[in-house]
Amino acid sequence: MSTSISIGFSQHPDPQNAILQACMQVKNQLNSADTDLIIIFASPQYVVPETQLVITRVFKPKHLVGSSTGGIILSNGVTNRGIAIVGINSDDMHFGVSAIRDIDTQDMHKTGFDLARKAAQDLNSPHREVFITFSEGIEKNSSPFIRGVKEALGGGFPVLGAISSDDFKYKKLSQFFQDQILHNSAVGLLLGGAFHLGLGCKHSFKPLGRPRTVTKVDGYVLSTIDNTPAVEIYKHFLGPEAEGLKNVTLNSYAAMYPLGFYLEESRQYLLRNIIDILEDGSIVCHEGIPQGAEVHLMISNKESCRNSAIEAAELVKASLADRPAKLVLVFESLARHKILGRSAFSEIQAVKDVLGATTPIAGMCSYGEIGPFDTLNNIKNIYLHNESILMVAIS
Amino acid sequence: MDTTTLGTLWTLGIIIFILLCATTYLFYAFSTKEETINGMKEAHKKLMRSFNDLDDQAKMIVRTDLELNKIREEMDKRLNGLNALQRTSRQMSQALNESEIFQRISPSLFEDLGFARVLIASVDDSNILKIHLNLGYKDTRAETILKEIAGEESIKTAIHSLSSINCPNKTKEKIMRIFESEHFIISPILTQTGSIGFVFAGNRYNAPAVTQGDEELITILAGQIGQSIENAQLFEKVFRSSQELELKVADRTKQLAGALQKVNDISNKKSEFVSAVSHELRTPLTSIKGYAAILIAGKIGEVPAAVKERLVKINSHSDNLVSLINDLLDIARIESGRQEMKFATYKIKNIVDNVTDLLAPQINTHGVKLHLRLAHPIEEIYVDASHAERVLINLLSNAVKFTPPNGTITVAVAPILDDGYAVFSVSDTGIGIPASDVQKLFSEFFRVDNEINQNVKGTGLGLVLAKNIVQAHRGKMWVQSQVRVGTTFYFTLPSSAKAFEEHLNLEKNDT
Repeated sequence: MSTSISIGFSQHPDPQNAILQACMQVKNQLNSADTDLIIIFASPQYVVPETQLVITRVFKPKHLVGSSTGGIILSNGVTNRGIAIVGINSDDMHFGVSAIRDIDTQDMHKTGFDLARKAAQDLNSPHREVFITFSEGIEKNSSPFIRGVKEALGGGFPVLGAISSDDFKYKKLSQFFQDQILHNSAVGLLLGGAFHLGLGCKHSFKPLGRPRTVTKVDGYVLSTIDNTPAVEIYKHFLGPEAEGLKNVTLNSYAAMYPLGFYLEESRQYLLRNIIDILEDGSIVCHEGIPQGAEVHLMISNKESCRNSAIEAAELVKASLADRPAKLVLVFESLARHKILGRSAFSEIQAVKDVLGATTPIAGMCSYGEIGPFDTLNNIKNIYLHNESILMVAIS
Repeated sequence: MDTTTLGTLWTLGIIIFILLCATTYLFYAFSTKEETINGMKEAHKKLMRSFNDLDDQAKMIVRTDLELNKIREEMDKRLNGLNALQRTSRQMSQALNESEIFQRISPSLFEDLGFARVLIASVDDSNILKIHLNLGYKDTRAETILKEIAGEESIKTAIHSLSSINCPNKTKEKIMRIFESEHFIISPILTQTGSIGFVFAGNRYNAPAVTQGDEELITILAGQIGQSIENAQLFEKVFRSSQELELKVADRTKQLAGALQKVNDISNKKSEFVSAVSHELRTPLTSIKGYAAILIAGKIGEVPAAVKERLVKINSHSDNLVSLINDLLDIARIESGRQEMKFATYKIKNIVDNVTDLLAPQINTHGVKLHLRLAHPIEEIYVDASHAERVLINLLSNAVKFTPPNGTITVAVAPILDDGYAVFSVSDTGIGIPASDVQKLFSEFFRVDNEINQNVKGTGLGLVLAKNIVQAHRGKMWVQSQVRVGTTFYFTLPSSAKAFEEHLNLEKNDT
């Protein structure tokens, strides 16, 4: 009874060669061509139609999932270019995968429910431990999606995930599912069997200025705050620079100053990135903010980012009761990566200082992270987070 | 007043008192509440002021943070750019031809610098611009851009002489239109012969403007490309010259090898001839010697004294002739490789002792002193013992022959050299050899013209044979001499099988 986990990575300029190199690293470490699960994290340049073809030439993966990303997280740091392949062979773990396509035209609750149910059917085991999703589009209405997944798997079931990302352009988002590359889809991975799960989820932002009240909301469009156009909050704080928020998507100051609203139930601030400013001064957010909510402009810096990563790693360590992690999957906000800049590696180094220098780490920078606040103890309330770092450890 | 009236008055008084008290209390209470309200209003004002102050402080924090972030972003971008540039430069400097240089420019360099559109082009041998890197344009569009540039002199001038940021607005607009980019940098690829192409990096609309830092990096890159192309051209020139030289050397070597082969063929034929003739001579010579011996012994009757004297001379001359023929045969065998060598490990001291014992009577008769200087008597050599002894015998007998009585002969063995060979030397205090003859010593049948040689017979083959034997051991032999001072012969022999094998392999490789 054993579990072998291996991570391969390549930045070869030719995508096909890069995929092959990463596959060969995994194959050599696993010492087997049969693989139970392959997880792919690839920057947009490496999402090519031949990806799975090359992978199946090297392996015979029973399950394959993955996502495009603007930043690949590995044990030695974060890079915005390349392809990482995680291979898992296990007698102790079971895997079920699923996908729902064209989700922008579907009911989110049903999407979540169907995605989880299909994965459960594919799992072929009654022992379910955690559900992980890679998706594009659910971030605009994640609550019903999460509700749907929970309805299928149980109210206290851990639902985690990452929103696919690219190079801040929102144009090359992809999900990997078996032998297909999907867009506008949600991919699910259900893990079951005998293993321990560790979790840590943190953000590093603090509220700025006096509290303001959301006075008008239409879905994920925030129309007014304190009865004035929502953009005024940014104009107030950023001054003329607020003009730069228009049409520039997340790759701007918006990433550094998200909005945060206070959640009474969790007693924490939930963050929302703004992704556009409309002509009437409304703000388009990742997921809506409830009307009447107390809202703040939030701020962070490199040090608090690093500290929050350490806190998340400590939560993981505590939830594993000091058992060594065989694999740590990290889903981190791409915007946080932007704040950290060239010192992004130091954050991963800090995580390794907590979890152990040889801990295998793989993951992706995302446009949103799905999980509870802090630890699995808060599993009843699952949210779509922005600007956060979420770590899932398997032991 | 009756008691009723008094009671009424008392009651009224009390009521009035109570009313007065109540009024006083109410008045007091009202005044206090107003004070509280005023106080609360004041506190609210303070709170609002604090909130506003908090907002103003937050505003300052955000704007300072924003400034710092801008600086950090610019620094990060510059550092990333410099790193990427350094990587690319290193890659380019290793390229050996022009096309390889361009292949080594990674698109990630420009992505790190934040450019989505890149064109790198240089002129070919026909002076036509050719694209080497295209990022963000369709191939057809890129070709059209080159054609449009070719027709715009102002752009050519801008490419080759001006800073993109500071170029005239009209030119800037033209470049923006042709390259479909709002922000751009265009820099010439310069070599010593002038501009041979350009590097364009730009972005469409809604992208951050390029900075002076971006322009510096692209200019450095363009300069680096030019430098690498020049280096590659220079390398190609040197490479071609070296190839021509190599061809010439190979040709000459071939000619020399042919000539050497001819010499070897002739030498082999000579050896074969000598060998055949020697064989043919030895048979009748054996008969002559036999018959002379029978006659001298008187087995077929007594011969007169005068005849016997002649017969003894015939026998003696026949011995000389046999010795000469044997030497010739040995030389021929060694030269042709037919001589079988029986290599084994022997102690140096044993070999030297064998030879000195053999020549001891001759040395004593001649009245010369023999010194042995064996640096490491226990050291061994890997040789064919009979042949090695023969070398030493030849050299030692020569030394005895040419050293006057009371002279000194020294046989020495120096410590083993780094190449695993032992150096032997045989020195005498004899008459010496004139410098003009030293080079000829190892030629067949050469004998130095001196008084001793005129009186003592010799074949002129002893040294040739000795040298051939040493060479068969992959050793060397040489001589140092000074007339009337003495002569020293040196030769080297392998100290081990390993040393011998190494020399043998080295010789094969050289061949």
